[in-house]
Amino acid sequence: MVLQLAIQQRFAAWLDRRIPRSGEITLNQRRIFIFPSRAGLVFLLLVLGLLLGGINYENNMLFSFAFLLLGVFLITILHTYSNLSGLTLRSTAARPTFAGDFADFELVLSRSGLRRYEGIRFAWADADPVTADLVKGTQKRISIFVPAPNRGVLKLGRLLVETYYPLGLIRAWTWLDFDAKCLVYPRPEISRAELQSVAEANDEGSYTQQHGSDDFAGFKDYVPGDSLKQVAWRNVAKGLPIMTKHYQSQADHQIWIDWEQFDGEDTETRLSRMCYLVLFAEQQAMEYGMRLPGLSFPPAIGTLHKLQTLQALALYGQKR
Amino acid sequence: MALVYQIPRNCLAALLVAQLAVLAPHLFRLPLWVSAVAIVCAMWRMLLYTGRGFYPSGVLKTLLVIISIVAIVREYGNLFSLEPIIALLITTFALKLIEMKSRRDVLVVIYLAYFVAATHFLFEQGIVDALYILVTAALVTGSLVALHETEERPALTHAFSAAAKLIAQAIPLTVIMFIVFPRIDPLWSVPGAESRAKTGPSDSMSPGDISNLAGSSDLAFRVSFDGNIPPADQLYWRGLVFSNFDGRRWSADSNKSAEMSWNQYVRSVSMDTTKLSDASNYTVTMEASRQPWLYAMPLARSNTKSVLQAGNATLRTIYPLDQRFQYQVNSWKEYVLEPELDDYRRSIELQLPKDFNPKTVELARKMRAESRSAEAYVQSVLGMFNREQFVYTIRPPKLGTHSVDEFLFSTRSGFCEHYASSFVFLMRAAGVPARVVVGYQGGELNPFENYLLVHEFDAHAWTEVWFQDRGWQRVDPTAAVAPERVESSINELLAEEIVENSALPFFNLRELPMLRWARLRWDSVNYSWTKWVLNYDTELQMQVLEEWLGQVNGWRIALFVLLSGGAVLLLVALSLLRQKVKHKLHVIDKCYLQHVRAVERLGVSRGQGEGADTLAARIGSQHPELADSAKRIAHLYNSIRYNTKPAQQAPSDLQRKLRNEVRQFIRLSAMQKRKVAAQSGDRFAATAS
Repeated sequence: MVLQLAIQQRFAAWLDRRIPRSGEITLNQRRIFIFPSRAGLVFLLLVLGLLLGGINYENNMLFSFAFLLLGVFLITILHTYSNLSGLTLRSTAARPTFAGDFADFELVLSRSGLRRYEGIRFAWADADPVTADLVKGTQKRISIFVPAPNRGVLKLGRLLVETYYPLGLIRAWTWLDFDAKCLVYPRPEISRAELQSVAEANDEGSYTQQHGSDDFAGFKDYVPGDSLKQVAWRNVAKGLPIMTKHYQSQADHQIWIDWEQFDGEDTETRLSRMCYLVLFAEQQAMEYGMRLPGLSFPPAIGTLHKLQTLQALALYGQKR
Repeated sequence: MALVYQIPRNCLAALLVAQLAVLAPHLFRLPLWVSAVAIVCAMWRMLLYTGRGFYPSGVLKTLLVIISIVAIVREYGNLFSLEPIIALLITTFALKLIEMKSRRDVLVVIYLAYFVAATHFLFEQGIVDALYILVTAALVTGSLVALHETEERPALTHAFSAAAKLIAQAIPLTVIMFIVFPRIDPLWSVPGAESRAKTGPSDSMSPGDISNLAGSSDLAFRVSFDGNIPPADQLYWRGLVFSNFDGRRWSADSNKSAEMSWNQYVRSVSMDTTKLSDASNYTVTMEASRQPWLYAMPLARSNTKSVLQAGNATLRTIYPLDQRFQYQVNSWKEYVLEPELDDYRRSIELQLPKDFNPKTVELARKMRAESRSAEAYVQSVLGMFNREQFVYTIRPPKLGTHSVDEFLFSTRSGFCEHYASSFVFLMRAAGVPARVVVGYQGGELNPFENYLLVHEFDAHAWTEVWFQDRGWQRVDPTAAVAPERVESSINELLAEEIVENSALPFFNLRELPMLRWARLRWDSVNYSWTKWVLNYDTELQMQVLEEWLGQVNGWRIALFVLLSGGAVLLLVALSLLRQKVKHKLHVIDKCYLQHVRAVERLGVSRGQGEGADTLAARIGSQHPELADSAKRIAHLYNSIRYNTKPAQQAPSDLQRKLRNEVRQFIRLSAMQKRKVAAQSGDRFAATAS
């Protein structure tokens, strides 16, 4: 066990030196490993059988046939190698996902020449392997859906890129480290009691969604994520900086999503319920603030606010 | 979520094509029902392919396999010789096709296909066969490519062309390996092909046997001489010697005397070869006759491995020839074979069935009594054949019990075996030891490679008569009846008869000059193939390597393999890594670019990304004479390329029109250029004066 672990570590360290972490990698002889596949080894047995036939029957044509197949085997090494070499892979940032869902890791395959790439298999962590080709065009995007069971940061190890094309006799492969990460939010979990209290809070404040009927409170600097409906387009048209209009009523109706509210539950359940409330409030377009131990977000609304709060939930209690 | 594996449809289609190609040459060799099973399985798979039909259940599969094995054993009587093994292989191959579901199954079928394709070489090894199997290998490889294709809806031709490329690139490597791979002796004995029909003379001779061979234009063997080819009357290819006569059938002496006389033979030869000179050396390449006899001119000795020399100075192999066989022979024209004949041997060579052919026996005794010596007796019998009304024919009448009597005294027409048979009978009846020899006589010269072709129709029977001290001497009674037989080929001599008689309706066409040329040319190619490829053995290998490398040793061979193989792989690698698809121009664009070049010759260069209309306008402003033409071209080009106007004409019409316009423009612009040049020339002349 210990030895195995040591060997694995050694291999990982060697691999790190040989194929260092990178965002974009073009495959070349330094990075491609190549070896006969199991089917290839059986094929060699077939060649050996034919060779024995040639020897025992003293039949030069059987010899030739065996040599032809052996020649095909040798030539295939080059073909399989060239089916990976020169291919450029880039990993783009994965969009955050929720625990229990899949993280969509996107790879961009590109080629500089017009060499055909066929039957390339991508396997990453626990994801179902994806087989793709690059025959038309110079670029192709493929998605690899990796299960994200736990909240926090999903870090993927090395991506296995392999191909058996054209004959399946030879396997060419590489392990690429894209430093691929994905933020995983807690799995949203509905909480009846909390929804009730939120609904009550809204009723008391006679919340209304019709901004137009509210009192205009003033302009604020535009922050990415603010609703485009609130942008003062007339000012923008005059050449002024982008501002958003704010109304009195919005400020009046706020809810707080508070860690302390869920007293008695375990950490993950608390976070899951808070996550649900964030999504709910955002959907209902109400302003919400959030409190976590040692962290507080003042009430606000908009995509940016949502992302910040969700990220805080995702990373709560996680080591940096 | 386990996805059910789907065999790529292209792979299935390719596999069906490949399977058909693999099985085709075997179908004629296999029992009918195996072929039927193969075809039914292929059709079954076809149904599955089109989405109908069902996969066989486990019970059905087991049943089919058991039935097949039982049927094969019944058919062949055993399971462990070549034909039943191949029949089993092919049945498995066919049955596997219908149960194929997983990727592994497909691989098994494809690997089996390679194997079945290769087994064809156990039966045939000609050039055409080799080319056919090469194509088959490409088809099988194509199905392997199709199995690994992932492109959506790829063309079937893509897999095949990719495979063809692989095979083509592998051929140079094949040649290198073929040349240097050491040919080692068989590791264990293997079952050979048995079912093939035997050709050539068999181990006995009855009336009609040789004349049957006369209808066949198949090749028996080829001979290439080291020196000059001996004259036709010496070309007696001895194969079998028959001493045993049962009244109808001549056969080889089957008792122990063969071994005894083997020793005598060795003695006589070793005694004589030292004195003999003027041997002719030649190489015989026998076709696969499925018989063990080898043919050579007397007195023959061969140093080729696995050639045995029998007691009566004939050559043979241990096993029947399943494939072409090549052997070297030294023959001495002058020889003494068995100068002494002991009583036992004499009794064998004088053996006659009792109470047969009484009239002939009587005639023999009478004629012998009239002759002073055995030699004189031979002459008088030959003289009788020559003088009297004997006819040489390929269609002799059937003979009854006293065949020799009937032949000599009533029918008097026969083929060589009748003459040989009755001549030996006459000799033996008179107490002169004699025997029948069967083989071939003559041969056709192939002028392209200077070798002899001996065909089945050259099969011949003659005799040997034993004289005290001189041993066995050849006597050909047929030559007394029809001397031309020895001088020319049987099919020239009896052409009409053979054509009427023969199953080959085009037999006489063989001699048309054009066809004869083509036939001999093709045969010389085949002969080279046999000589250099099929019979490439250790000896030839050493010869070739020595010639190329100067000296054969491990280092040089390794270097040769590394350099030549490396060069091939390097070329392939370069072509793969540099592979760039050329940007193909559309016909219309090509045509338009011609126009642009013509414009540029006029000194008007096209701007980056300049449209056809603006360019036309600029041409018009600089060369008003070309304005209309340029405008028309721009209009046509735009309307084809961008379809600005819904064209009433077919696109091909417009294309043709554009081409014509461009051609005209080029002509006009050339004229324009000349005019401009002439004007400037005038101007130059004007300034000069």
